[in-house]
Amino acid sequence: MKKSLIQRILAVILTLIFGISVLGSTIATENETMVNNALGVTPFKVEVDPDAASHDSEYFKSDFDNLGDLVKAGASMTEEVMAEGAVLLKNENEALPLTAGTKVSVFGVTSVDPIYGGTGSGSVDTSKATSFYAAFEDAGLVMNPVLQEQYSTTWNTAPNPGNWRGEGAEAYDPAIHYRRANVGWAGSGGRYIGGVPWNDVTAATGESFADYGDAAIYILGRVGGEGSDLPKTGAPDAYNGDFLHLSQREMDTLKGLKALKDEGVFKKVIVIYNGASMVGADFLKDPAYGVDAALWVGALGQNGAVAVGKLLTGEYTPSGCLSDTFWMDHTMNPVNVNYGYWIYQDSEAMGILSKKGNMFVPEPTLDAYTVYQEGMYLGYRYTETRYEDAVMGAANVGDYNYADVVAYPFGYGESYTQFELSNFKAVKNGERSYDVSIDVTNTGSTYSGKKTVQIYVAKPFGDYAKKNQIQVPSVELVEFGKTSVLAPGAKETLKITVDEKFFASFDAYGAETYVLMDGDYYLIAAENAHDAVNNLLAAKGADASRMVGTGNAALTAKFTLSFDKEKYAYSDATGNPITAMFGYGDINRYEGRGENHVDYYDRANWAGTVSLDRENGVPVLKATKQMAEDILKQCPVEYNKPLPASSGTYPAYGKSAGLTLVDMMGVAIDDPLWDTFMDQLTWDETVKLVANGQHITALVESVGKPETKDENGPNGFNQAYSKNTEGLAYRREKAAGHVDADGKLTAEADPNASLKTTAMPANGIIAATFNRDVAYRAGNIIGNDGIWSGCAGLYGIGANIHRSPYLGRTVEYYSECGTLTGLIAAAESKGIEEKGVHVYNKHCVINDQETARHGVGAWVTEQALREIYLRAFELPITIGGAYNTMASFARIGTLAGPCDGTLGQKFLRGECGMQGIIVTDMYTDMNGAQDNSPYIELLYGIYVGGCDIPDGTAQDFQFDAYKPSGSTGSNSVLADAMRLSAKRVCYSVAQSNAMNGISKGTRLVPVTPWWKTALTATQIISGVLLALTALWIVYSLLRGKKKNA
Amino acid sequence: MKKLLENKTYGYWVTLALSVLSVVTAVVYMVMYNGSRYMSMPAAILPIVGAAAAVGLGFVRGGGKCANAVLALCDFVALLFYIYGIYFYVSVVLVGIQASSFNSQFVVCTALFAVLLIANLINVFLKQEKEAK
Repeated sequence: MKKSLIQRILAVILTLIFGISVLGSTIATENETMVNNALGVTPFKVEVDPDAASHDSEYFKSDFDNLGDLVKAGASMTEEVMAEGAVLLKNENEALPLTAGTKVSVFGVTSVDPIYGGTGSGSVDTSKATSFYAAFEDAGLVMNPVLQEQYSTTWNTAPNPGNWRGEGAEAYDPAIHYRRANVGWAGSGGRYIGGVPWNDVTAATGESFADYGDAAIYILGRVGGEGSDLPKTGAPDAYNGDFLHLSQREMDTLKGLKALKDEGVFKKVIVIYNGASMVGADFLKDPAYGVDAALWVGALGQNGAVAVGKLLTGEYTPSGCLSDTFWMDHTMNPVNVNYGYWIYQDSEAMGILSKKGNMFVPEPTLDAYTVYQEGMYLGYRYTETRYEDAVMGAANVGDYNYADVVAYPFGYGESYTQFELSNFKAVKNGERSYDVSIDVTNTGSTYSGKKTVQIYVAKPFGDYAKKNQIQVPSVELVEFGKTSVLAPGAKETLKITVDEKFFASFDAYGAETYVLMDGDYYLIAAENAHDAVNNLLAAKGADASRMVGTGNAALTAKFTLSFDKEKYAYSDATGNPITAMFGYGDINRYEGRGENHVDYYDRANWAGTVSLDRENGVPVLKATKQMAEDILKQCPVEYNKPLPASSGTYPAYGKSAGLTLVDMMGVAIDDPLWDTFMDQLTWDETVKLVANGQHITALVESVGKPETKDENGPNGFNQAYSKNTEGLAYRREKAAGHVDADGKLTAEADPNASLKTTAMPANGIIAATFNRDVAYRAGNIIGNDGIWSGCAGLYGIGANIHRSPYLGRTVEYYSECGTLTGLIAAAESKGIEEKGVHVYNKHCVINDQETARHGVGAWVTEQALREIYLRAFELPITIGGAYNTMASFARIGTLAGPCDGTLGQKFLRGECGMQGIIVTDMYTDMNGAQDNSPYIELLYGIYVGGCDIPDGTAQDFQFDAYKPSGSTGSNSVLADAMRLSAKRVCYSVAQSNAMNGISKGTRLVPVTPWWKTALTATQIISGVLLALTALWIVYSLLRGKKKNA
Repeated sequence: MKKLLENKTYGYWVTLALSVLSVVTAVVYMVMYNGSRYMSMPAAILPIVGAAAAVGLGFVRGGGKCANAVLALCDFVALLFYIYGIYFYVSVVLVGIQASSFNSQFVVCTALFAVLLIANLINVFLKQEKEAK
């Protein structure tokens, strides 16, 4: 080969390598955090001072001496949650429980493909989950092997879903694809129910039925999750496209089973519904389907199936109560009329741009809205209130037949035994407590079991309410209690304390704070929401013939209160006054509303305000210039709406004081020592803290602030115990010499360290336990998982509301009731927080749909916002000690969660006393601008106090324009806000398990990640070789010239 | 002029063609991304500089020999700047949650830069001038 050719080849190759390595290094360094996370690299090491080595620096201790015990406890906790949360919907002729040895035929594609969790952030580890088959077998049931074989092999067919975007997806063919499937991101490219045609089932397996005919168990399933809501219409293999209606195949199967039961082949038909989202349940009431017993089990989590098996055989007695209403048919739920998004009229003309931001389901980020027209009347607050009014013959109730609307009410749940509630007493104790006691007796003769007693309040709907547009649901859950396991004949007296603050209503128009209205209040003990109304109706002397069911006035207590607008006008947590401040989220109060007006549901006029017309029943809103201004200002750079300059003094930077974060443990956030500590940080370090948050908080080695790992999700961490080097699992293995030179676990390491953390059942099931102790202990398991896996933050739990059954992420959230959500989430948060894992409860607030969630403007009354949606976040902070929240993508009116300073500063911090971090929801690019525009920009969010850090990486250069020069700069307000955000990050981490292993005298030493070393080496080597090649070429040219000369 | 051109091989004409393509790429890139925050000015200017240099070197005695290398280097560095300007957008489309799918601007510009890279890689091995006898 000619020398010149060799030179050229070398020059080309080395130029390519050098150029690419320089570029790669630049990009990787800019995104160091993300690269480290992706590669599992910890960018620092802890060096322990010899004097400090003996100091116990495990500030948050695990309850378990070894990982194996935690793994076992986690599995057992998931079983316990399901044992107490699964809800027995019906049980005619004592179809359940089955005895051990019962021969059963198990039907349904979900029998072989159980739903353990959700998709996206609600996904859970299934590697150690127990299947239905294994669980049923362990419970002693003898299953039809022919059916099992067919479902496991022949019928276990699904279309190829293609890649994660749904590209390359195989077309769904109902003739051959039987297994449930999602195509694309969370089913946005297609969501299939699946199912085997009944004729195929009987043809292939029919002969085996008679031998396993003690019971037919049909397992129905629906999956949902992050990324898309469940289709109301258009689901490919759903009946009329309705994903939550039984599909034709499911109806055929149930009718087929009924026919076989009638022929005597099967003795009974049992339905298990394995899904977090409530299907229309009219089929359970319809004799044509002949269902004898039905059990709702939500999403199973790790060992939920074990509990289901034991519930079937009576080892456990069901005690769960519904955390949502089971509607007969979702067309009867008026919320579904307003569920989705609509585009403001005249939006373009008024300056609201049409920008789409989601690649999977491209949806608008600026010009979409939805109206929470139901206001306070969501779920049972609607069904039961209209029912009461119908029974009482109130005016304008309209056409409403409760039996056609509700299949099983909120709070409903049967048992294998019977309980009697008696001796109900409610006594006011002091200024604001009511002591309730009630005797619960197991009047059955065979089974032991637990019983939940729910306490509801009924408030007066009088003149004051009507005059000031306060809506008053018939009954509202305010407390609950649960007995221990009661043997037949045993009695337990439940003592429950009710806080009177739940009697108060938010009066946005009159007193502009919480008020106690004058009139009669009832405290009601009940088995469910409908039972509570019936008890109330009985107390009010209603015509029993108009009621659905019967009531018991003895389970009510009446208290007459006078009007009071002072008593609950101040925050219990902070003492700050509570005032009306969310008027910008109510289209009737928003100052830029123009001519817009919405008739929210009004108890005084059901017929005139409630519509079931999905086509024409949606309020139409027109865009206004003020709306455009308010929306666009949240992206100051993108839309050239600069932040107002402010020339005050900047905070001090780089002022050494010798403090490290470990010195700040236990120091109150308002202690001046924090100012001294924060003054040590440089501007660049401050920027680093507030600009980085991709499941972390950033490392600041100069003040010993470790990088934390903050991981998903709402149903528990979903990662290996040994993933993070900060975790106890990894540190134990390292100390034992079970980590090799590359940092990997050796073969001698505890195999449990490679397992993933505990997967909890659906949060709706945790809520359905109506047991705060269970929720607390479930949280404690998550907290312990955090200690062992090295996580100091949980991107969860999910405290949004099940506004509609079509919500995609039902599995992550608890209930349609803000109070139940808040009380259970508070208990679970407390359990998590105790282990130094800070929750980021998400998504605050009104992130109650996936459709157009990136920016949909939700218009909601302040009363509903406070009493339902915000209550779910408030109680975990005030009762559970929740440190952090994650902001919602959705907007209250025009303001997106991370840009809503009123929500962040006045409510979460000012009213609830939250002291930690507000992180944005996933903060990533929509249009290449390297921030979340066209939707929001981090700078604006921090500026107004709506957020502190992004769930992503914001580019540091965005902050350059505000860098101080001396003690001043172009925007001291922003600088102060950045300081506060950085302080919250430091404060939160100082009180977390991220400090485990760090004692006074220890140092965090930055470590150059291996990938950086590799890139640098590549640059140097290729650069040197390139230079040598260039010299060689020049030398050759000069030599050639000389020769020629 | 005739004298300057008579010693050029077909490789030099390829270089001239690539110079035109470089200018077209730069103009298209500028038109499509002008005003957006992932516009990289060096990525727009370097192909033009490279094209001008390549053409100019043709008029310099002996300069034509390295015209292809100069053009290739400028185009390659421009490509690096282009990638640097747009990588975040690409990463989000590939692995993120929010983003529009690859838009036509991106597809067109990427295709042009890719063609330039490949053509330049071939062209640097083509002789630009005839050997002096």
